[in-house]
Amino acid sequence: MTKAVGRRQTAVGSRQTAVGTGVGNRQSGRLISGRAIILGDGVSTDAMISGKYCKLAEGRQLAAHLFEGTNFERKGGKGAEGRKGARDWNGTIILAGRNFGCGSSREQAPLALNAAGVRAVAASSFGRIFFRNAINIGLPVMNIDGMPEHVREGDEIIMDLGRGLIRNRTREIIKGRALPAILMGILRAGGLVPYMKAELRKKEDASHSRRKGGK
Amino acid sequence: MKGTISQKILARAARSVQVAPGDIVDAKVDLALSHESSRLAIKSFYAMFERVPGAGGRGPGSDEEGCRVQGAGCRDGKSSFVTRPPAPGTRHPLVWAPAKIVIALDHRAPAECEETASVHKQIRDFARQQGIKNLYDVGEGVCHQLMAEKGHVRPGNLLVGADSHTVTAGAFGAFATGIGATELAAVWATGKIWLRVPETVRITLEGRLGPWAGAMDLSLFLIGVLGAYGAEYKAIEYGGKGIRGLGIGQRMTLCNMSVEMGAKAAIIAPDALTNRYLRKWGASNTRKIVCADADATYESELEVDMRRIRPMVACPHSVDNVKDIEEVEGTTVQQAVIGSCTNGRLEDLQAAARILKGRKIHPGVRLIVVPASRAVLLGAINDGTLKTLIEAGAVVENPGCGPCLGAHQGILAPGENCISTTSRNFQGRMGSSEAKIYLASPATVAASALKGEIADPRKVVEG
Repeated sequence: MTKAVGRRQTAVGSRQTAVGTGVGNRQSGRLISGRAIILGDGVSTDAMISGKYCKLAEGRQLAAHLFEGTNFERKGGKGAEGRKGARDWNGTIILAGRNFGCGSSREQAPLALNAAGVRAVAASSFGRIFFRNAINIGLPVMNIDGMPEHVREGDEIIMDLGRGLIRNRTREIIKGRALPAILMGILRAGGLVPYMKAELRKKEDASHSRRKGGK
Repeated sequence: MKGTISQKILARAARSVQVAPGDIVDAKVDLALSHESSRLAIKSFYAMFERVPGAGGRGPGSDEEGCRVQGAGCRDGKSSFVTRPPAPGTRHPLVWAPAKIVIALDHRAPAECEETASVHKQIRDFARQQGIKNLYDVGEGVCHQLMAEKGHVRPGNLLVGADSHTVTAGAFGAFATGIGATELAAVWATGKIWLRVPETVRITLEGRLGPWAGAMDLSLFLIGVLGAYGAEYKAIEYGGKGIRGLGIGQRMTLCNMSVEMGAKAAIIAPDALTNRYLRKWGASNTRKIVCADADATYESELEVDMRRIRPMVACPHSVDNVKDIEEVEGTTVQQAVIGSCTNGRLEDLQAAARILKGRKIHPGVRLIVVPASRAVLLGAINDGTLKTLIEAGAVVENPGCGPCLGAHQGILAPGENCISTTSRNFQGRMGSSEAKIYLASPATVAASALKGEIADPRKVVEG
């Protein structure tokens, strides 16, 4: 369904591609590809997942209610283009305007995007809690300098996280900002849980070997 | 050393002499706050300590297999949500400092369905296992109000909370910011968090608010001027002589609403009033006075003459769609809400009661009043405010978040309009995505409940 474009196709957030947790070991050429979804400014976490569904536990359950009842659920809604029709989020990269993920701190919002198959989000700016949450659950995010002119909904695009670039088929380059090393480290681990797991284990092993040495 | 309040607090928390905007610091947290969001945090917390059998060296603690759960970030959708506590007799992971953790059950309290009831139960069990004494159960109130009233917040604190309105505590001179649940789990595990030092925007307030203009009107005015992303990633420092004329509740409203401009934190330097308030509510050590240095650098500055603030309304579906009340007067409303962490304090209920005393609300309106805490509720009972509101036709709910987040206690039907003192009017926030939410001050909401349409409190009082 999704064409593999570029040197290699890597879903940075998935467990299969977790490649260690070395902070500061930034890799360029970390590529994610997907179909573009174009959204406008001010997409709130309330829009992504309604407060009434925050009691739900599973990613799958949350994904079933992604953008439910809002203008973003269908094409042709606010900030989108093209004719009406329910959006298929699977295998997509969201391109959005300012303040993506503003509002509530609910982590269920990026969890729902992730479980629905959204591979990454690029936006002119993010609600800061959403930005952190996305990385913490392993959903790649990138700040871009503005909405690209020539990318249309459904276009195949490639995001280069390490370099902070997005390209489409016509090779138009959208400039963004690369993530700081600490965030790349968390993403590469697959999210904050596996990252912390490794960190806590390192700490424990260190204290264990200290104790052993003391004996 | 030169620094804004935020920079000075973050420098202390990061054990640095000085920090500059853009620096990423590893900061020690003084207080960690959460509500029903704790459930996701508990899941992530146990997952962080999960041991994979046979993987790597088995150090001490490899007997912790009783609490295995799958990571929150897994894509397969099969993640088990059972955060099994460890089997009796086995060692289990402990939080870094139980006394620094505060949890309040406020968002869906009392439980509106079985799932929420299980969430609450799981959080209570976790608090008991971890020795977390600061668990405020159903009916105590909204977590942000309790941070103040239960004597937790102190000037100079670095406070993080798994709720976006954690910024409210900035009213007491704390650097308080919202985070997500998994990040909170990491704080529970280590007591630390990475933070980018924000630029600071200074907003200088002069003059005094007029009799029918509230802190909510001031907040809406500022959001109207700066926009919903006017303070993105930044800290707002409110200063100026006008601050002295604002009560603690008004300061909390101002800091609370700052997150709707994208602010990372909002902060007001503590003064004599702050210390009196904190002492009254049991915060024993209030010595740490924090203020900005005279030569601190601000990214931008804005001066507001509060005498010019008039009743304002944020219109659907964005908090920065702010209009003068004259432009929306006469819009029919079916529901009016007074409450929440934004405007659910005693002075807010009193403002509504002043308008509704001896009158009846419009028969086409449901007026829902949600005190922000048990103390607010008791205060409103003792001074007769509640009697006035109930006689006028209000429905009074238990302290908590009420209908603000659209989970229960006042959901909107398609096509309905609601005017509310809460903080958000996103499409679908309070129920149907075909309902409209208008945000305004308690006085404006009370006046609107009386008229059955959006009404100017000044005219209602004079008329």
